Amino acid sequence: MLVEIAIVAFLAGGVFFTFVSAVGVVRLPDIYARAHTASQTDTLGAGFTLVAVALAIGLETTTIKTFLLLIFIFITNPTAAHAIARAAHEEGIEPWREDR
Amino acid sequence: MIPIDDLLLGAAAVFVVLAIVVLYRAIRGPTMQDRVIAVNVLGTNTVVILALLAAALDVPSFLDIALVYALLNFLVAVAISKFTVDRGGVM
Amino acid sequence: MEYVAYTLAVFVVVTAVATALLRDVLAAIVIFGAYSLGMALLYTLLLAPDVGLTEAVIGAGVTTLLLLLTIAKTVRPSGDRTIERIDPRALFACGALAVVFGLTLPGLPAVGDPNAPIVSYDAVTGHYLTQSYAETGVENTVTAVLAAYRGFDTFGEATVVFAAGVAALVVLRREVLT
Repeated sequence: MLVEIAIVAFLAGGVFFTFVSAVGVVRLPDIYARAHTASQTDTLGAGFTLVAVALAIGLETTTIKTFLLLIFIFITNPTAAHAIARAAHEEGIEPWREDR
Repeated sequence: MIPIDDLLLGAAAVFVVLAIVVLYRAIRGPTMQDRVIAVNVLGTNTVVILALLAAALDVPSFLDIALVYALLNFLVAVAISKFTVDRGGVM
Repeated sequence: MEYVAYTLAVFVVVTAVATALLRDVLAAIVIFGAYSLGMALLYTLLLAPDVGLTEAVIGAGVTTLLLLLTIAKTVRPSGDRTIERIDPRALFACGALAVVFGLTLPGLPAVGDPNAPIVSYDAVTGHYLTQSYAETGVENTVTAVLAAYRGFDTFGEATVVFAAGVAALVVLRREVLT
């Protein structure tokens, strides 16, 4: 019962943060702001959901894969966002400012 | 009380809907990096959806596919950002 | 289960139309990667994980990289418009083709239908469906056929693909050096 409550809580957290990240990617003004929401909020949302999945599967060998996935996403997602933002910077895209 | 499997499936459906929302940014642009960021988020969503399906439908082998996707997603994002910069010093 | 598949179908259709309509080639390639991810997810949802894996690796990985290399050697059409101007005749031809293909859909059996003709009338399929687990120990029948019953065939395919990849790398390498 306690595990089920934990699963529901982690799922809710994951869906919430992924929703925030989707809104951020669509609504934020420029590439750098969007890269930041994609790297941080989306990673957190994916992390919460994967923890919920690991809890739902239970104590098995396949749970290791879920945690492997979690570690992969925690490393690769911010790195990819960094690479993309840096590519945007080297291409000379100006950051958005309110006064322009 | 809703079964956990249905909850996981429902969460997967929400993730797919969010993927369609993010798709707006991927199509709209305006710069190439915006599209790559959006596709990167889509890839992360895909991995999470696969993990949710693996737990909900009780098919553990989906997790292997999710692992492959996670690596592939990173590879494609870095490859495209390297490509759009001429000398490719993005890492 | 069904609503996940339906929303995925919407996703796939939107990405496919966007790939066809976007003016910037690089953007079309990126969206095509998203299309491949959605398609792979759909295959996996229909319990064909091998096809899903292949679609993801070939569609989102290899095709994207090959097309990137290709347009690195050609030019990108630039312009103010995001969306390509639609040619009415091409639209009509595509629509007609889609309608003709769509007309065959009601003739198909439902997904997982045990009374589908391929299952009920074909002794070979029946043998694989009933005996594959006992003979190979693989749970998924498609995987069993692909990797066990026709293992040598798949091995030959993999060899051909590997040789082609090495050859492409050699050619590209030589062009970079000269």
